[in-house]
Amino acid sequence: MFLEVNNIKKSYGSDASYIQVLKGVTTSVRQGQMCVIQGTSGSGKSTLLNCIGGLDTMDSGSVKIDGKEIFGLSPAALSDYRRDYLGFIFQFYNLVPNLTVRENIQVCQYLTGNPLDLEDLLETLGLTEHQNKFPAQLSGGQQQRCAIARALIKNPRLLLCDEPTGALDSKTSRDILILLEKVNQTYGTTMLIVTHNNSIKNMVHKVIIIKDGLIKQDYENSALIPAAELEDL
Amino acid sequence: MNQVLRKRLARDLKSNFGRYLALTMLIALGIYMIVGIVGMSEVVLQGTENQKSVTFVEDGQFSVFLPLSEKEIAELSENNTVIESMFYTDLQAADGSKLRMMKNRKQIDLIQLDEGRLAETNGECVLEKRYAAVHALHCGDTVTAAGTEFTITGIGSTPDYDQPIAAFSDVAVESSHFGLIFVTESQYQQIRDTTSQKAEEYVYAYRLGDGMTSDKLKQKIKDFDFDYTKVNDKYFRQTIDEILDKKKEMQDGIRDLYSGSQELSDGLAELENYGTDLKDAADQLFDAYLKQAESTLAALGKDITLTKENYAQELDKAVEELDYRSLRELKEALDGVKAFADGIGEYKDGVGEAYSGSQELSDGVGELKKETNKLLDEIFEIDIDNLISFITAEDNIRIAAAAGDVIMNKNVGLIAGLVVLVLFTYVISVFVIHQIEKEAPVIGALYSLGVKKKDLLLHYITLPVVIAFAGGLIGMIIGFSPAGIDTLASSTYDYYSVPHFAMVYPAYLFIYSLILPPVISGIVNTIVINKKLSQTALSLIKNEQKASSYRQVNLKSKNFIRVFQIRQMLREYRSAAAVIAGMMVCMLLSDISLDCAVMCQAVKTDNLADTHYEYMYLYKYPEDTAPRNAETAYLETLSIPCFDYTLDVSVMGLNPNSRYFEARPAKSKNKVVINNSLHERFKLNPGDTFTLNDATGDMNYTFTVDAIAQYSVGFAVFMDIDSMRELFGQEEDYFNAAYSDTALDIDEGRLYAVTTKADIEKSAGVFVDMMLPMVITLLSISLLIFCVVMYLMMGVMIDRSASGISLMKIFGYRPNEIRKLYLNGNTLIIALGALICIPVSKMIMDALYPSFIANVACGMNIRFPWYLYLGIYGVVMIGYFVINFLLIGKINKITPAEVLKNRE
Ligand SMILES: Nc1ncnc2c1ncn2[C@@H]1O[C@H](COP(=O)(O)OP(=O)(O)OP(=O)(O)O)[C@@H](O)[C@H]1O
Ligand SMILES: [Mg+2]
Repeated sequence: MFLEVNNIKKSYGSDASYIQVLKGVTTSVRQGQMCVIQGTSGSGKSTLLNCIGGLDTMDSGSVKIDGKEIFGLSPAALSDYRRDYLGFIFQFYNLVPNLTVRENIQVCQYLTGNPLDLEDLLETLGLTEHQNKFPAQLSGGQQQRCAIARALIKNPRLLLCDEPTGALDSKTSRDILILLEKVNQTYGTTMLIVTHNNSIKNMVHKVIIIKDGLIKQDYENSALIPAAELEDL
Repeated sequence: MNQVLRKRLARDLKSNFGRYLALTMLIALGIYMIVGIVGMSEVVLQGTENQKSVTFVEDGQFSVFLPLSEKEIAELSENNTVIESMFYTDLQAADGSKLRMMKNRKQIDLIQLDEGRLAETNGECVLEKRYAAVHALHCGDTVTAAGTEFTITGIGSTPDYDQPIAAFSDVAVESSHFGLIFVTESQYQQIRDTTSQKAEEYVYAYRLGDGMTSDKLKQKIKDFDFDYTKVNDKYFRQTIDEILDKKKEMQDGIRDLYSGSQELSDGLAELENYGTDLKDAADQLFDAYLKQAESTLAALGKDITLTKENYAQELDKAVEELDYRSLRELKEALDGVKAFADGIGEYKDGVGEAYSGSQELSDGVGELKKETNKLLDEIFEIDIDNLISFITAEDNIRIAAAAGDVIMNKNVGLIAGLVVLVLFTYVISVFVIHQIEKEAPVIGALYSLGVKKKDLLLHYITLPVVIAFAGGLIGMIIGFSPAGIDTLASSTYDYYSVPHFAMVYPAYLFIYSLILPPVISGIVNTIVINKKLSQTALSLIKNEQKASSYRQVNLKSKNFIRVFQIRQMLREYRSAAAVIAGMMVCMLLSDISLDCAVMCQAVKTDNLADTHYEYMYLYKYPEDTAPRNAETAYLETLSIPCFDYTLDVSVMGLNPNSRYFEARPAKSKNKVVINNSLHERFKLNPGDTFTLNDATGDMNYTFTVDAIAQYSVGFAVFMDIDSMRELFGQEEDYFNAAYSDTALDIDEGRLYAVTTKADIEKSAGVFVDMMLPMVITLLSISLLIFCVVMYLMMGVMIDRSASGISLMKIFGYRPNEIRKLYLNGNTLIIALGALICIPVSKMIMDALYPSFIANVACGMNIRFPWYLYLGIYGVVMIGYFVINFLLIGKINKITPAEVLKNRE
């Protein structure tokens, strides 16, 4: 297994404000799989993703990526772990506003000695003509594509996406999903995608459904519907 | 709704506490500086002014050879003019220092006691406060001078010795060597009568009455009859006698000449008389001979009357007719007598002529004598009136000297204050813009929820205005506290002999500190917020960055880090500009103090280095011949205007190849060599002309600069001594100064002042000590302001980049890489900014500096040595790195969660 999550627990606050968000989550994802995490709002999806991404510490449990345990790593080691393994895509893109598209992508290119070809990537993501624009000059979809390019440039082993289409209309969402699909096929990138959208689970290999900090359902799709053909996006 | 806003205020204050604290501190520092420096000046200025009515400070003073008579004083006291004697005698204290003994004052220049009471009986005294402080003497202690022990009953000061220097020519106060002692009249008299002391100086102070002027008073004194023979001063007498001897010699000469010519005339007159007798006798003799001849002829039968004219003819005729031998003999005898008589007559005429000539000569000499006497009287009378010196309070460097000294501080403080306020404004505006931008979504939300613009405005300007007010208040309190004005005034109290002035609270300082900061802050905030609120609520909610602000620059560099840094600098240009502006302001402030320190240090070292003599003697009563082993010179003091002040310039007539002065002036009455001080202060270069005035102001001397010579002691103009004597109408070998390597044996009474190299060394250092508190205060304040501005503005930069930094952390950027991206651009800005600011601020300050020291006659060597520039640069960079270090903590605190949470 590429990603092994074992009985992780996570709580916030103490005394009156104490809240246990993750109550022992166990799951695993194989290399090259696209995986969707679903659940109601406040169920702990983002928390789980952040724990896996090393952005938040867990109280107990274990997360292994490619056999490497990240529980208990120091912040610096976690930082290097993110640098070496992960790509992030956020709901609100989080581009650096004073950098051009190209420069935003270079932010992550800088982090690896072995990046993908920037021109190819721009071409693939349809950003070549926009590469010298600033984020404020782009539409939401274009911005998210830029964010995807930024996440992909260092060819990460694991791509974490927290509601990548959350801020987009259905047409643009579909474009983004097609893109992710294509990336997965081209580079074999393992992906964890948190989403509220119910139909996205049909295009991925594995689906995890969380409720109240526990895994309610965890299954693999036998047949995938290509993103281009998804309904009700 | 208002409650919500109010809650937000508290939260805002809490979350930005460090920043608000720094802003408060910045304002407090600036206000402290203004209040401290300007307030200290006001305390001294107003204190001096207020003292005037308490101490009845003189309008002027004069010294005389002989004390004024009752009648003369009465005459001077017309129109309510007050005259009080301020006679003094310099006593030698036990430790060798000089104590100037004076009587208690009655009407003018009253003693201001810091403690104790006035001397009431013999054996008591009041001691001048600086002397007391330096000698650690207190009330109840004793001090011994002129063999008399005095109990100190009081310690105080008088306004006529505000700057307690012994002689007007003294460069600086040296209370270890000179002080004042006030005793009762009977004590004063007793010491004069029973001990052998130096001559008493007869000084009178005056306060002018209605319609009187100092000039009128001066003329009155000059017009008094003056019997110089009563003057006791040996050298005065000697000089006067010499002058009078000369007058007498000249008068005697004329008298001799006159009486000689008279005698001549008399002699000739006598001669003439003799001539007449002789002639008469000769004529009688001739007549007798004629009678003899007539009677002879009659005896021969010829009745002829013979005259002088016809005798020769008649006798010749008779000789032919009568052929009488004796007749021929008679005629020959007559011829002889006639020739004799004629000769006598001629002689007599000659004598007559000589006589009348001599008469004329004698008359002329008489006239000459009369005129010469008149002339001599005129010449010799003018200089010999009773007045030795006459100086108005305004020109008296001892009076209100402390006040004169702080005027510069006040100006510096006000200018610095203005500059600092401008800086505040800018820093606050950057701060506010950042704050508002950060809050834009909240503002938008509140706005769209129906909160009124007015309420929002009020909400957002409340904190900055309160902060500005608090900063101003704190600054003002510290400024008026002992840590402010008192500390800064200590250099004045440590140097000048002035009472501890009451604190003053000028209204404009309150406006400066309590009103200006909040008003500026309020206005800036209102403008910024108004601009923000004019955007639509939606665009505020979306917090749209104006794309245009980034669009202009297209960077070509391949180096991602460099590109990122440039983007960062472009984005943070406002903060960067504020940092540079802050740096500039602080540089200017530091330059004031460093210029001052460098100048004082230069005065100290240069004065010493340029003093090649060990002893300088200035004559009151010059000698005829130069002392052995000394170089003589001729000194006149003229003045040069400098801004509103008049500064002394020594004109020095040097002998060729002077041993003690580098200057080699040409033989010329208008081409002179100036010293470097004049060159530095007045930008005078060879070929330039300048004009000096004499003390009375009615003579101007225009000179052309021929060369510049190194001599840093005051302002000096060097001339060839002969040309100078000619220019000022002095005799051929006149001199009034002597320089030497060894002490000369010149009687003290003859001298005006003796200055040794050690004196110069001591007094030169005084300024360094005196300026030190101000220099240190300004330097530390400017460094603090620089650091606070840097901290605030770089803090703002980091704040604005928080989400970016957070993002970088998510991506796995390491701390040193993040620093490289976000901080190293600043390093470049600071490094380059300092490289520009340091010389530019120095140039600006050098241009302003002369006006700051307008009242000081000294050179202006404010060249920084290279290592000082390096030091400033070093301090700037160290300050930057310290702040940088603090900010790294701030960066480290930014968590990845920032990005994840920021967008709700
Ligand atoms: N930093 C925190 N401190 C305290 N509680 C937190 C914190 N972060 C999350 N929580 C709580 O943890 C629970 C899970 O939050 P999480 O963000 O994981 O939910 P989610 O499933 O991603 O919801 P959504 O679909 O709305 O994004 C929530 O109840 C939330 O209130
Ligand atoms: Mg979530």
